[in-house]
Amino acid sequence: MSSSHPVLHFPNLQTLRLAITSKLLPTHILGQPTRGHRSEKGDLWIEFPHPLEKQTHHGLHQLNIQTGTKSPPLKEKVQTWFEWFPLQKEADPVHDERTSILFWVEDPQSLNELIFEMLRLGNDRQRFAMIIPKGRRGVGQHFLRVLGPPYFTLARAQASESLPQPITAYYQQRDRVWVPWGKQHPLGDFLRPPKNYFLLIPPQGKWELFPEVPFRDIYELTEFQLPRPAQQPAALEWEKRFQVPLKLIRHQTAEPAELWVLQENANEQLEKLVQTADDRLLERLTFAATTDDSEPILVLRARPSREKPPVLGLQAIRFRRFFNLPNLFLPIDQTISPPLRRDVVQRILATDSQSITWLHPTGDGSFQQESMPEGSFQPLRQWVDYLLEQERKPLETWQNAMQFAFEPFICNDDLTYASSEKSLSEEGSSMDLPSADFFPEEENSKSETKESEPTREQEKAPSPQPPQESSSQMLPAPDHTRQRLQTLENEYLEQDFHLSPAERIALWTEMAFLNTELKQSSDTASCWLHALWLEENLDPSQCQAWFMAEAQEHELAHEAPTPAWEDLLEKDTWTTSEARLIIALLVFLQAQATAQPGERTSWQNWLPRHVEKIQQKMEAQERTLPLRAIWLAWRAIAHFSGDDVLSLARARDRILARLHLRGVSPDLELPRFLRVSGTQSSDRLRQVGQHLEALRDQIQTWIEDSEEEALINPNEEAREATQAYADYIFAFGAATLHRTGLADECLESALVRLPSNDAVHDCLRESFEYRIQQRLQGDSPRDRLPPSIQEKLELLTSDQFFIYDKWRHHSRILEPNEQPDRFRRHLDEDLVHRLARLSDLQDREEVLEGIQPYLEPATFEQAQLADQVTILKTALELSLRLGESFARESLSRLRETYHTIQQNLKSIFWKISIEQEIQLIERAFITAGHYNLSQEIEIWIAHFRAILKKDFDNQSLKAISTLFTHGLKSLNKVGMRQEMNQLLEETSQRAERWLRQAQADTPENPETKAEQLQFQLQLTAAHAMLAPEETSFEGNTIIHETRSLLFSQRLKTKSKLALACCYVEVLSQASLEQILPLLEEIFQQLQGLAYDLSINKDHYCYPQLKFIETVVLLFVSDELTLDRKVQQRLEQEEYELRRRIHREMEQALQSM
Amino acid sequence: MAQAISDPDWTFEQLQNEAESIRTRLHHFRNSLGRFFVEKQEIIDLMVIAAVAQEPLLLVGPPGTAKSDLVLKFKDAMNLPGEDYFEYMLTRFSEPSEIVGPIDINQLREGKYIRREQGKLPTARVAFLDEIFKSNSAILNILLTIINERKFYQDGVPQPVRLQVLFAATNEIPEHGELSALKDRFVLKVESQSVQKNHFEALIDSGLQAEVHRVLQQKPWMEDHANLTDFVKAHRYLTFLFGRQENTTQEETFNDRQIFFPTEIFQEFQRLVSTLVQEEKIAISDRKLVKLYKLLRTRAWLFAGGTVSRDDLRLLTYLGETHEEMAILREKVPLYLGLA
Repeated sequence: MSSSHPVLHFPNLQTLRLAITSKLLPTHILGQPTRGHRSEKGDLWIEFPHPLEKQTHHGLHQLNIQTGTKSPPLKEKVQTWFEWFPLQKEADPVHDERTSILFWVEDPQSLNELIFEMLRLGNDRQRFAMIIPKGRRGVGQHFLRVLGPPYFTLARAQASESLPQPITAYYQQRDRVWVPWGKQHPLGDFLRPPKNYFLLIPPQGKWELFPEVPFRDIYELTEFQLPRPAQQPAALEWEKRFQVPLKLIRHQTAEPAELWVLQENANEQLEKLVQTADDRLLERLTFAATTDDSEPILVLRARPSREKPPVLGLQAIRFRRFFNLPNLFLPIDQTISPPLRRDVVQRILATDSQSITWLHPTGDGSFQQESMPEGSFQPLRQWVDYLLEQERKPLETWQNAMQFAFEPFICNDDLTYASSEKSLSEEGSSMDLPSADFFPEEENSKSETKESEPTREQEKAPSPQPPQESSSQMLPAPDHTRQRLQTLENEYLEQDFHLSPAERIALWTEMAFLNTELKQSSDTASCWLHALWLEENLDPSQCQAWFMAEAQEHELAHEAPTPAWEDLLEKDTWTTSEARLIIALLVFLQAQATAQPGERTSWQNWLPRHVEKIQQKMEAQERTLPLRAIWLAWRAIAHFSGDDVLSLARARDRILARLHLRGVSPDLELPRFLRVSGTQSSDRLRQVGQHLEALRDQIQTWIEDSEEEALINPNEEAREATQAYADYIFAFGAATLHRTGLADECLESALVRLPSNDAVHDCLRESFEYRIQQRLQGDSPRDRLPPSIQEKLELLTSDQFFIYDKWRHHSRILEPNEQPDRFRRHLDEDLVHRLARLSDLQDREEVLEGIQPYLEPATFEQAQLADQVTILKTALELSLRLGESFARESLSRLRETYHTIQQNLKSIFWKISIEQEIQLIERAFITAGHYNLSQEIEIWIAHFRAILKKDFDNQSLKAISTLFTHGLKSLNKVGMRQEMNQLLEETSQRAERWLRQAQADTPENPETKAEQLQFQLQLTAAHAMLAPEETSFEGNTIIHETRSLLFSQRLKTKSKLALACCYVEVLSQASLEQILPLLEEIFQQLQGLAYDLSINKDHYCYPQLKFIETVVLLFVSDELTLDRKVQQRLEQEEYELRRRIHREMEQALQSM
Repeated sequence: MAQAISDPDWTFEQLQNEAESIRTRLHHFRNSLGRFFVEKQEIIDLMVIAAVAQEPLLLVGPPGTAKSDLVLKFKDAMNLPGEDYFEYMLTRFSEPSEIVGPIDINQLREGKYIRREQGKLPTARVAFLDEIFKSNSAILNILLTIINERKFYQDGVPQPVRLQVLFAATNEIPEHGELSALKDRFVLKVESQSVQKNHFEALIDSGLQAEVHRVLQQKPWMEDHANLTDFVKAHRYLTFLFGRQENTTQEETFNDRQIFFPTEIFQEFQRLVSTLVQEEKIAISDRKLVKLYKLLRTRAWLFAGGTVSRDDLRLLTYLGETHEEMAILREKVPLYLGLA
């Protein structure tokens, strides 16, 4: 048969496929209808609609495709060339919960069965559409689109293929191309249906194009019939209350007794106890007395402590704490029946937290509830008078006449503090010892003691004996030293913020000597470091004194290096005190070399051979050393290494990074008396911890009550998980407050409640446990989560990661510093996504390698302005890890770009919002503050002032409040407190004007009001931080308005959460006594933070947990746990550290 | 005492005339027997189906759940002659002679290895082997041959056994590899579970009655509704049906499946099997599948007179090889069929 068009003869399908994939055949031809013939052998004759071009002809021939006009009858018609290819079976068709399947059901009855079957098998992710395609004579075709249909239903579709009215199941091989499930089209990737149409390739028959229409949820089209009409039985008022008698039953427990009630011979027993027990035991006991009409009854109680309660062999009724309640005690071997919940027990038996209650057994399971006010328990120790049987006899002073007649000798290494007028230097010592001017003369006090009855006052340390004026070189008695030290410490505590540098140096130096005498090496070093830090230049004599003290502690020679020194340097690792010794040596030698440059001592000759070794080991030691010591060490190393500024700069970067991540560590930086200073700081900590523990029950009840108002009904797992995460948050708080018992209890409870076999919960659990462990070990975690957890996150699916990251993004427990972009996995591979991933990297070099390409001038300048802003924002965030030079470069770029932005503000293509501008400025503040770049800060202050003149909106208010929370604290670090104050004032005035205007112009909208209140709260907090004495929370209008709005039910969940969290954060500036009732009020009245329809609803209730976290973090904040003065000292420490380090670094760079 | 049953050659026509009455008798048989047990009707029905289809049935359950009692009463209700019934409780130490008979010493002297099988498994028509998986390998081999090939070797020469109905019981289903062949021979495995949780009173009452019957040696369950002959006839009748093919006027031939297995039910069967294999990872061998078809048809005939219905597909619940599979099938099969 002949055709008017060329006919191509393909020997087989593979050849046709090759012709198509190699683009030999024009693409526009392939989509057109054609006709052809297929032989039994597999040959294909296909009519080509146009004359063939020579090139095409040639190409076809090369593939052994014959062209001509003769062929068998071309009876088979297809709509596209792709139809010649039959569907191929897939070996392992994809079928999981995310597979989208499209069912094409021709018979409406079958559709009903299909829908019902899938609902019955637990799948309701069905969407339905009816489409009337062309060529079907108006007959609608039913389509059901299902996510993850049951296999059983898919098998139905497969089984019905041969039926007249089949159900066919399709999956999307490519966009808008649907093929039967279990099959694929060999050229499916090439298929492009027309726009707004989708293509169905049925197992047999013509290919069909259907218009894309919206699919409706099956629930919209389904009517569920109740088997019987609903009934609403009337509720009856239940008046009768159920009476349940409580009784005590036997119960074995290993819990120790903590309360003893002595009834028989109470007085005698107690006397016997105090006569035989040591005072440490007595310190742990308190007691109260009462009477039973005739006989006295004494009640002993062990003070709460980490240690186990003491075991007292008394004839008494012993009681143990019940349910860990601090004020309820049960007999040691009994418990309450029926078993009740903790909160119920507390409510029934121990309502009054100020009373101690015990259940006195009266036989047959019954008991008498007895209680006494807590205040009636007195420390037992205070009621004990230790009597001396005889008067104290003063010992005679040893007279010179009793001296032994030794040969005179010269003592070279004797340190004395006697107020002798001779200084040892007159005796030819080779060392310059401090002169006696450091030691003020003691007042002469009478040597005789009073002959009187011993009283309680005499239990104190006796008055120090005056040092004898003699030529003997006896050291003063330790008691005297300790007392002197105490005096100086008190003086420092009272006046530290008012002392001049010279006065402080003097105090520190004397305290250093006294600590040396008392062999308190850690405090000795701390005092010396503080003294040396305040000096402009290192004082060789001070350095020497420190060095000698360290050497003495290690029993090493200080005059010259000995083999023992070599051994010390050869050790693989040093202890902390050994490292301090090395540092003291370095500092001393540097001071000596600077003061006497020409002089070469034996040390000066010895050190250069060992500097490199010391340098190699020093970095590994840094973690346990104070920052001052580290910096002085590296200064000395740099000096002895030929002014190695690079190593000094690296040390500076490490110190700044440590300050950024961990802050000032009181344990490392401060001597003991400053760490424990403050108004009863340990009591404060305990008090805060107790309140936190009491809050836990209240919060759990609040969570349960909130579930009733949920928009959706959370599943059981989500409920349990929310309670579990609340416990994790509490465990974190308890660990921070050193309440390990509570932390363990919370951890255990969380572990039991948290659903297992869920990857998201698994990752969250690990993340929380990591942070809690850090706190239990005394670290202040501000680093990133460890690589092991990051690796686990990589294994999560996209949705799982999103659920996990939603919380991590907002949690300051999990990510205290950086806030990773939680959309970073979900965005397309564009700039923001790529940059956001850099924050996941741990290694500094990798981060640098990742960001540098974007900052290359060629790349950067070609980028759009908006992209440049994005790049710089990321660069600034990362600069805290990447060092000062990187930070400077980024800030410089930012200035240029910002200038360009200002010029471009009238551009129609892209305009920066005030919020974005303020975010940039905040970043600039934080970065510049971190590296003490005051000039940079001033530039950005000027920019901020310029913004204040612009029009505000709610978004810019939000950004400004964030700026105050984080950014302006950086000004504090560099000592720009005054500037911070000014900015605060200017902002407050500007904002208030705007707020007044906004409130007048627009009717009140609760959401808008909430945003404005947040801003005002932040301003209030900033004021309180700067001037706490001038800020009061009582009667504060903003606080009052905030409370009204929060408890009013007018706000949506998101706004309510934001406002509630802001409110709680602001409360950190109030006193503990003010905070507690306000928090109690919140948990009684705050409603509406419940589950919503967000993706995490099956895992946890985000609003509740976010709020609980904010509350717990309030409890562990420095503002609450530390005395105000201690906070100020820590801020001062950081300021002094940074100031000197930056100054000396700058000097070192200038001297290059 | 009833006489031993021999195997007459019934024709299809003969059996076709009796089929309905046989079915009715068997129906009465199973209903009647169910009155003497608490919540065991399901197992009794399966025993009847297995007996008609002449497929072995395994009862699985902890001790004291009426497994042995069910078989004994079943046997009694059939009015079975003593020589046609064999039961034995196997132990690890059981020897083949206890099952298939001792070696004939006289024959052995003549060099022939012949067992004296009278009264033992090879001569029984109905057998009950308790604790079947305690068999050792010697007994295992013999059992496999008897169950599978219906043969027993005497002096190396295979001889047909008369076994038609085999019930077995076990407390636990083993995981051992060498017992899996024996396990596989039992297409149907049913769990006999404790009923005290939901039927405490009925259990006490029924158990007490059973004790009374036992002491007084009464057997009220022997009501003569049906006997072994009826079971055998039913089996034969169904066998005839399986082999028949019908012609229509269009000269198209229809086989048993096409006549008695409606297309939609067959498709349901097919996809249920496919789902159980693919999704629930239940192993269903080809042999099992064929035997299953036979059992489905048997059930359909017994309960409804012929055509297989969706309800008959419940039989797939009993295909499990392990306790876990049994639990899965118990839950999923009714769910998939919409019969939960």
